[in-house]
Amino acid sequence: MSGADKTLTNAFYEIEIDPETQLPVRIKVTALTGRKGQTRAKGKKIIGGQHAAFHFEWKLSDFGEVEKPEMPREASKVLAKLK
Amino acid sequence: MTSSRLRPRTLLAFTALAVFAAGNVIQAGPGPLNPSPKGKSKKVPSPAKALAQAYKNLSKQKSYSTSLSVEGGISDTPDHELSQVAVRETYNGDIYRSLMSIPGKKTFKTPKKGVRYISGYWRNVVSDREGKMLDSFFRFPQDVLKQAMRHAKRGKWQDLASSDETGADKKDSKKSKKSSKSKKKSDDDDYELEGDSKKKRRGKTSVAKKGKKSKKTEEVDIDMPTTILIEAPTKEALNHYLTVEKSGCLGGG
Repeated sequence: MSGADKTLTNAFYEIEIDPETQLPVRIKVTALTGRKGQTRAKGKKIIGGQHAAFHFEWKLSDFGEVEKPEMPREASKVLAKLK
Repeated sequence: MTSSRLRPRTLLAFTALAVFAAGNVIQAGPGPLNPSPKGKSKKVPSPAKALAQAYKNLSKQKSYSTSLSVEGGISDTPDHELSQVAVRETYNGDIYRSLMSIPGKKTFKTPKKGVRYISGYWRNVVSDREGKMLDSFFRFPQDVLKQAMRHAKRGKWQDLASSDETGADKKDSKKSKKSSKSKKKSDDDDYELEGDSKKKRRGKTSVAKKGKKSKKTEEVDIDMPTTILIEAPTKEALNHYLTVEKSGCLGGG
């Protein structure tokens, strides 16, 4: 993915909220980066042509139902030492 | 003879009750029989407020499960679908307070750091390429929401025309709170609106009422938009790109 045009980047959030609980149940992040001379843009908005696209989608569920994870002692020692 | 005489009477009684019930529903406000556009617009909170409320509610949660799917590569279409896939990953984790456990990857993470079981030892999560990717991609949903909230004013409801919701902001938030309260109560009993109807008509028309109430709950769900769209500024978009680049998933690792 060489030739990235770092001056042409777009990002969008899409957040779905459960109307009953008012909790987020889905979060989608789309990150786009243009490629030099290959991306079609309208102003600063990527509308086509070749570009890098990353889609991240979180799904959330089982609110309040997850039990405390058991962390190995060695793992917690190492975690505590990290800055 | 008697039965044939009774039938039309009972039918008449039922239709009268149905009409009466329908009248009450209309009086109670916008519902399945009175889907007034004014009522709809008043119910809808501003995306910024809805997002803030969602963030607040999520913060109150002690624990939850989450999964992340990442797909990245090259696209050449306006809808940004991938034509060449460079990365495709799925992570599943459980969040308990500020600790995320990812059993499939033998990893524990806090919002700022993490450990991973690598070659028989617990090490810093960024010690290898896979851990580095996991650390940069699998962020706490709460942090992602917080980031999105910075630009919440730019937010729009996906399901609605943007012009409708802006006018009724102040009234909306109050009404949405009320409606959310009523919805919470509805989990225990049937629906908060039932209480009002019971006061008006404590009768025996249970069949007709229930049918209408269930329709009413559906209507509320359909009316309320559920998805907020936010366009982040260019600076933040660049940060997303740099995060991806640093993760090492684009090769060279």
